Amino acid sequence: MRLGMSASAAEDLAQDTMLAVWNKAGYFDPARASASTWIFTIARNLRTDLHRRERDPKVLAEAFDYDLDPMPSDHVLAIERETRVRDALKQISADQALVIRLSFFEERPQSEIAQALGIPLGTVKSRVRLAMNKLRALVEDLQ
Amino acid sequence: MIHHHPSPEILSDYARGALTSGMMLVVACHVLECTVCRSEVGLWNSVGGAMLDTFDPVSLKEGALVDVLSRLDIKSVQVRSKRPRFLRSYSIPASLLRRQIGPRRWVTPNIWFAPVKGDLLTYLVFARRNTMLSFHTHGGREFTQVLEGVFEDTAGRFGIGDFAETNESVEHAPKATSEGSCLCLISSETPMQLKYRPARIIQSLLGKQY
Repeated sequence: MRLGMSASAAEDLAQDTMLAVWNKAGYFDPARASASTWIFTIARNLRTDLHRRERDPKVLAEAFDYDLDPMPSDHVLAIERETRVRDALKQISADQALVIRLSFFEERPQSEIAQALGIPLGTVKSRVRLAMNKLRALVEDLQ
Repeated sequence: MIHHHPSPEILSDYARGALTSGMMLVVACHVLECTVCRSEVGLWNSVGGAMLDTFDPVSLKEGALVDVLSRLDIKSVQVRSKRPRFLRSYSIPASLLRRQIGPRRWVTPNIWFAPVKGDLLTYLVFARRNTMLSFHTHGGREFTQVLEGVFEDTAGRFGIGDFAETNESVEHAPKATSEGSCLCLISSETPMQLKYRPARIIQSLLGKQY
């Protein structure tokens, strides 16, 4: 989640996230997402906001939480979906899991992941795509 | 009916927060309107949450909890930015409404630009029906979300709710169709590279924020 931030910036972000989680706890809806997913999106949005405020301290501070919507199949409880995502993550190949992990938690565009792993960019893209298709299929299959 | 969506790669970049804040905003405005993309982003968010759970905890610095607890009493000020009058008649996505929009600048009698404050190279552009923007290319990627009307360019026809991505390989002159005026939210990695001198002069007068 640090995505290339310095240790102290990451520390600040962690504190801001704790504060936002506290202040927004009333908005948390377990039927829409698990607590981890909710916190993940809050931290991501705060980090995006941080970039804006660093550039221009006068801009409004805002932690947008607009896209925290479940998959369209609302009848499946989000918690159930997330359990399935977790199960599905165990079922994808190690190669696929690695690119997903790197693309999520390192400050790396896919081109750099390709460089780091010594594989062509196309391979990274196809692994991410395959992994996502597999995840999606495993999640939807069970609905 | 939405016909053009962000690529799966853009949606995953969005979910993991790997775009500029302006580009995040443009994708957010699309995702908000589009159930297909919302579902895709929802899946990525769940993956992010699941991964967050797999990490070993890292200790925060000493006193962090006290710091956070002491900040709890500071009421966060929810400032709602005022919608400029020139946007009153349009349906503006909620995430864009939370931003401050700068004054609009007419660059011709038929086209205006207005910056989104705080986000680099992010702005609204309006063109009256049958109006064409000056020919230009881009030094990087550019995301566009159509908020009103329809525009056409070399890549096709884009109506309300559609998302368009261009890059350095595209030279285009988007044109609002005869169906009515067109309003778009745009965010770019680099300023437009205009082909013709008069347009470049206007661009430099506006301060290279477009």
